[in-house]
Amino acid sequence: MNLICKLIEDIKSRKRDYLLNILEISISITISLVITILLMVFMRYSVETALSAYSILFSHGFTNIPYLLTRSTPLILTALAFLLPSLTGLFNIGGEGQFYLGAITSLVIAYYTGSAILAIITGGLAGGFLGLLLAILRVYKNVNEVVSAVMINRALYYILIFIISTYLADPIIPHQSISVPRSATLPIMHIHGLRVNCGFIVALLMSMCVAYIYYKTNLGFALRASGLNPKAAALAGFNIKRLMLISFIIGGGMAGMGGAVHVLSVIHNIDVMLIGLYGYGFLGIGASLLGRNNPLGVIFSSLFISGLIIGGQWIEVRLGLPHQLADLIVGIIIVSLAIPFSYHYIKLTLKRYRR
Amino acid sequence: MIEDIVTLISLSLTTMTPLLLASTGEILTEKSGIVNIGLEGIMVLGAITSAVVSNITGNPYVAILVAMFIGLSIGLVMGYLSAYLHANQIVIGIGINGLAIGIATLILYRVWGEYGGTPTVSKIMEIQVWIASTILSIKPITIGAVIVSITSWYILEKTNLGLRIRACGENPHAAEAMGIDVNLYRLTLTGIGGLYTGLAGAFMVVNWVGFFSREMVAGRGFVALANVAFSNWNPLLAILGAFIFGFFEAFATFLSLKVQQFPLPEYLSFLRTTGQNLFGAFPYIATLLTVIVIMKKVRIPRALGKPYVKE
Repeated sequence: MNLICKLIEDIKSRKRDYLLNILEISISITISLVITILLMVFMRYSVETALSAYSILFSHGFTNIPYLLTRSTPLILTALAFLLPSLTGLFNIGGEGQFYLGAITSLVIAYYTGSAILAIITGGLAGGFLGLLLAILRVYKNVNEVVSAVMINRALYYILIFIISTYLADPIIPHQSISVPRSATLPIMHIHGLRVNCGFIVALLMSMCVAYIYYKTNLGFALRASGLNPKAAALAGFNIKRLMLISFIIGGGMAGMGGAVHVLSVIHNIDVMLIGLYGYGFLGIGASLLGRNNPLGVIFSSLFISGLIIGGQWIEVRLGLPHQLADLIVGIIIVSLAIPFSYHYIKLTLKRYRR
Repeated sequence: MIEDIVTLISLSLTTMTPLLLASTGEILTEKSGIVNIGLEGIMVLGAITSAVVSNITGNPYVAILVAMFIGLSIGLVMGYLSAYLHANQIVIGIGINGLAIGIATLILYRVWGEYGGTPTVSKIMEIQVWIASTILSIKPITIGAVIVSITSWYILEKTNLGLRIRACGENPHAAEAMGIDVNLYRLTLTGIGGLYTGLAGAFMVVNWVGFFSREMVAGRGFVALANVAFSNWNPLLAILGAFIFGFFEAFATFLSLKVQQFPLPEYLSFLRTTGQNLFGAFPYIATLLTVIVIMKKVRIPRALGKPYVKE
């Protein structure tokens, strides 16, 4: 109770910052929706189609709450995977690959041991290992982490397809892998009549843990300081290289855990084209940026983006439009969120106008 | 044997072209101080527009021009956002990559009612040379790409203009003192980088495979970025780098076809079926390893990725 009071006080004291963030986010979302409609009209889709697409997107995307929560679970974790290194000033584009590796590792562990907790932990470790690899390349070899992450993502995609189709294929259904045994699947809980997947609870706990580590401990302070001003942090005696490695391990671990939770609670087996896993890494980046690089804000932005994705699937069912429309919207949101200076500019113009 | 070598070289020359164009453009952009991660997305958009235009007009040359124009305009948008509005360049690049796939799919669906790929469109001709009963085919755009990168090297290293461009990337404040409009230079060069990358996308459709599919760009934008670092921001070395990285891809394709023809021992027979995926992973691993080995010795433009704020 005391903690909650403190939290509310904290929010009150930073009201201005939070309001500004919310303003930026809503401007970006609006800009993105407008540009998407303009693009659709430019491609000679009729205006009615575009508008009805939007109405389906927002009416159907956010109504099925249990599905929304389930869908947003891996997204929260991949968003954390991008967010934590970015607080230390690095870009972890490798969330996609870490997600794949975590998923497949936890599948194997769950298959052989039948224990969900062990599977989640090893999935996280596998993702963290991959993150560590990227960080080592960046810190000791000076390889741009974006390039190496994309190379590893694409290579892993093919290698994992190979592994699944050669060693893990289901003997009865050859186009998918062996399934997670029943004892290792994450149960569904009922909270006040709301069906909540256990994976979502894991994701919530993780983001709270991370928020605690980053904002309430010495380690978190060091991690954030070296992101804000590496030179000053180095002068203050922080070991920046070590901090970079740590942030990538935690970040990668989150993505790996996301893959583990997704396999254990939703898909239960992996198809040989990795369709069930594809794309969460990229969407996670969007969710992280939309959450304004805040571990708790990420929860809401993940819910919003997974609502868009679900709505996108409904668009495909109802109107026959491609569901990638949702990807387009997310992409434009990312671009327009990247321009903090323009909001500053808008603010200045508004002030001048008021005078 | 000779046939194999000729085939491999011919294939490598083809696969190197988009890499070379994109990395030459990116070198120009990065020399002026802006890093454009969105190469992949610009390539996708260049490819899809050239496919659409070539399909509608039946004229691949117009398609190339339109794709270059699209690349230029996205480059200019990117340049404006990062130079004048001080946006985070990496984040914008990620956004462009994401929205490109969305736009491409919408266009695909709109024009052909399909999600995956387009039917074949008209292509431009190839130069074919007979060497020992095999054809060495050289694409005209490949020659164009080499010329473009040599010209870019000359402009960057030997002319006054090049000095000004490099000044923007090394020390924008000094450049401003020289009377250079830093942000205008950055805007223009990001536009030009986008133009080259748009051409790279068009090349893949109208001079190589002849159709567009959503997976066709396949990380080439990022291989081009790797090549920029590999070549130490020198367009001449970028030709070599593009050939090496192109060769990795060509070699993987070549091997995956070869294992189908030759008798293999029992324990290697998986290479014909599921093992084909390993050939897909090969170019990326080889690229990464090459970059890791080479990366220690490069010198990055000092103001790269930092927005220029006037005092």
